[in-house]
Amino acid sequence: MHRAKRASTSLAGASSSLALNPATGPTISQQLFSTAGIFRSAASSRSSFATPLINGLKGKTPRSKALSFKKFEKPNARRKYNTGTTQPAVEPIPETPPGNEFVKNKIYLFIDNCVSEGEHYAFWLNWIYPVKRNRVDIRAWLVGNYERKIHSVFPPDAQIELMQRVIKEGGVYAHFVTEAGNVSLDEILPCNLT
Amino acid sequence: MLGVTMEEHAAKMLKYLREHPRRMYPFATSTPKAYLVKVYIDWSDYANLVFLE
Repeated sequence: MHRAKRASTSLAGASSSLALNPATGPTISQQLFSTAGIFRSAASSRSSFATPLINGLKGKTPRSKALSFKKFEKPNARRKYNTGTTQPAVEPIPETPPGNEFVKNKIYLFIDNCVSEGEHYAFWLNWIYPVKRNRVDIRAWLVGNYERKIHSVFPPDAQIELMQRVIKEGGVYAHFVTEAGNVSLDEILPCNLT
Repeated sequence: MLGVTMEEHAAKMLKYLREHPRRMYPFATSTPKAYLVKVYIDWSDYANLVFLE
């Protein structure tokens, strides 16, 4: 009986020499060159900063997403951004325009109800979403909060109602509304810049 | 101050951005381009249609 058990263990060891032997434990070469730790560390770092890097190395992230710049908006304010292509939930009441001579360039945008009806202004700013040179671009980590910078450029009473991202051009249409009478020249740039 | 139009505001912004080209992105390879757009929402033609001037 004892001999038979010993023979079976020896046969198992001979058949799979690379497998882990529970009796003796992992060998030195297995401890040194095992790849199990890499996958374990990759699985444990799912919510870390290295997630896009790991996914990029895996090849699961498409190139378009890997090379796009980081989105600066916070989750609470995310609904304000990039709503230019979303259909409004409730169809608004149609309103007749004053005249077609006002229109020069027709750019069809679907803007949500967050923008009030009528006239307002939008300010175009570029270099907001610059293209990454490669997947790991240190410049994307070094830049600060773009949202704060954009707000600092505008007059203090301006309410930015919509940020319309144009990722291909790397810019933003900042739709804003101001009360023109309440703004003084002293309050605007560059006094309010931080 | 009364009489300050949005074009003057935009001119101020553009002037500042031209003087500080690295304000938005410190690694920019060209001067920032910024302009003011007048938006009019027209609901008559389609359900939600916007004309930019």
